[in-house]
Amino acid sequence: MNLLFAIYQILLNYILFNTTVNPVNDFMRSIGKIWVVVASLLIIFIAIVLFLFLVERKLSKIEKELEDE
Amino acid sequence: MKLIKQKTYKILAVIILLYVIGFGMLVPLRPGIMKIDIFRAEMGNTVTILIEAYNSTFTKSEDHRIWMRLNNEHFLKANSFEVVNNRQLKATFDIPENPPFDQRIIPASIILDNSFDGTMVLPDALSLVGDENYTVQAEPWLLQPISDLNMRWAYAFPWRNILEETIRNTYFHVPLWFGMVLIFLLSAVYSVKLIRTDNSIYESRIFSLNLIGTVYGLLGIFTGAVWARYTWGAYWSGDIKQDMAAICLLIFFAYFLLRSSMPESKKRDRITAAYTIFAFVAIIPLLYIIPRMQPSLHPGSGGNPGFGGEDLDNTMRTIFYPAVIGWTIFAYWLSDIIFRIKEIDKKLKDRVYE
Repeated sequence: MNLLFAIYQILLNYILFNTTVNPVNDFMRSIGKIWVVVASLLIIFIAIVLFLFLVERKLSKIEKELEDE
Repeated sequence: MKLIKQKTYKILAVIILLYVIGFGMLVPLRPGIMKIDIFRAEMGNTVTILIEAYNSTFTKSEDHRIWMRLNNEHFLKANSFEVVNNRQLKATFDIPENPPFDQRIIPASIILDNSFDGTMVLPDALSLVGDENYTVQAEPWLLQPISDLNMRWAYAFPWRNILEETIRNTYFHVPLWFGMVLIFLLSAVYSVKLIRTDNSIYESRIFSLNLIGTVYGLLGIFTGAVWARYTWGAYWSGDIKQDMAAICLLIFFAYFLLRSSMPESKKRDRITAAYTIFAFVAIIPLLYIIPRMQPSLHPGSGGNPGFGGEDLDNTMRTIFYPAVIGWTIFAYWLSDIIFRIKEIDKKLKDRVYE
């Protein structure tokens, strides 16, 4: 709940005032900013999953065409 | 690409990427000074500085030596220290009354050395402020120069002050761009082949390679934006290399527009292939020449690339170069899947028309 509230607060602050809550203590900067690297890997992972989704959609289309023949 | 057997290159890509992600995330950073608690000290006073370090183990050794470094010649050694815990250390300096050269406010770096952690440096840590009517007196600053530093080699990544742990992004953000350029190069080679032979099988190859190259570019932009937010302070700071990378992607977006604006024909294949060659030739100056002629936040601006010294040391090379190879082979694999689906789709359509 606390985490949710913190996320809400950061988002609200960012949208309303375009500032971060506290640049020194925020989550992404903790433990030597390691979460930035995690975020990069996550972005790559999400892209691969999206790629799989699109490939699967295309495959389903081809399968359907084969059935229709 | 017939040289590479169907499955071996995929297994190779997976093994290399596992190595890159595993070692890239697990190898520790070298110890480094994060910050000190003061920014300014008056000359002639005794000051105690609280040094906060990262990844250090201060309690393991007792031979700590701490210096203030003004320039290559003038140093001041701390006359006592007190280890608070593994990460914190208090050092006491007797700062001489007069500056060693004719300058009232002098920036000083902090250098900490011990036998367990090695040497750590915090550049421009604080400013030393002299009295208003100072005289120049160099002798007290020459008494204890830096000597016998514990420069040991360890399998660890260098500590960089603003980057901190995000130096690991070198294995996940930078190889995406290298991979993108290599994939576009391959696509340009296929374009030449298509124009020479008029074989429409290359069209699917070019399309799939351009698609994956563009995806890599977009990923590079997004991972770079997140990285920049927490190191340079903003998602997009109008850095010359950021802008040029965006233009690169726009050039390749235009390829997909061009391709979808024409009905399928030999003519379309040739025009899009010629455009791909043009686009590849255009991205080379955009990514590798113009950013080096301008001031930029990226390494390597205003001269030769920053792949020397601390930005990419020998430890990082053992992971960075495999990362480039791994991400590039992975990109080829992804494009191969798109290519095969395109070919099946084409054959299916031909059958329907017959």
